[in-house]
Amino acid sequence: MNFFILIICGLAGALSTFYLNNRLGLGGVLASSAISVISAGFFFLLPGLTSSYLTANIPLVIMGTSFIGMASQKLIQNAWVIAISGLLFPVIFLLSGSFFEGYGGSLGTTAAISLSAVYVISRFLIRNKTSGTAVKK
Amino acid sequence: MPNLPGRLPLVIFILLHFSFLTAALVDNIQNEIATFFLVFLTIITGMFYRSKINLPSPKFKPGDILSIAAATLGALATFGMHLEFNMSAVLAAGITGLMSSVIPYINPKSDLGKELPPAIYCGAFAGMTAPLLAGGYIFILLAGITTGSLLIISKNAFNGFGGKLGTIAFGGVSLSFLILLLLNS
Repeated sequence: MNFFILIICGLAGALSTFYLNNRLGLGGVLASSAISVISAGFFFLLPGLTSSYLTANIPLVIMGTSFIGMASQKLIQNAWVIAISGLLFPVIFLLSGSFFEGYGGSLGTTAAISLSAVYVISRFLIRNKTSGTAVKK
Repeated sequence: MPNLPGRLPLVIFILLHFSFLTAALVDNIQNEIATFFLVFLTIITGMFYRSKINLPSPKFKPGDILSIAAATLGALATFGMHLEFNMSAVLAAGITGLMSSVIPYINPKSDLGKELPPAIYCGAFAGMTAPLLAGGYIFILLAGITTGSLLIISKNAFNGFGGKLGTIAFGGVSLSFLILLLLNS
């Protein structure tokens, strides 16, 4: 159950930041920091609302996925790439192990890996779709 | 002749991402599904770096020193809030980023004003390092300077790609640990 909550939070964090950043034109820093402050501030003010596991991890996942949402729409045109990256982030986050635990920037590194992996797959799918259409013609 | 200054950020990013994935792989080696997933992810990430990435050489200017100072300030402010006010690292970095995003509104015509918020926010990620690992403000000062320097080196690389600032901060923190390790040995 906790895993699915983190997955939903990942999706929400990435898409909401992408929307604030690109559609509302707030810019990456303002969009990401606002989402991070809202999520962390919520659990700072209401620490007993969920289990200690979720209280500790939801803000981390939302902040991490907000880095994915900092991507520019000029580079990532499809919002679904951001959405899938947001879903992938919590999986890598939970598997990232203990070696780099507590290192500043590890959330951003996880975000970059999530986005680059989904970006490659999206380009592969789009290329195949385009070549498929060309063959049909 | 290969474009070495332009390629340097690419080499740094590849090193950081693959070190991170290798550490995750070693940690999950006994879990077959996790190992399979991480190997697949490593291959896919490798394919990302194999694709043609155009990286022009960075042109340095005197104002870059301010970006390094901004990253250091961001790191120290975040670490200070986290340590002194018992805030979570996420909240401390978020507040630092939120405060930095006001800077461009002070003088909308200034290019420097637009460069400072990402530098401060990037430094803030370095300042999220756990106090137990960092050991104190000296380490964060060093991490802020190295993060700012890496940010300047990577100024033309991966712009608009999510996770760039975090990866740079991760590089800054890792490099600081390495510097301290070499100095202490």
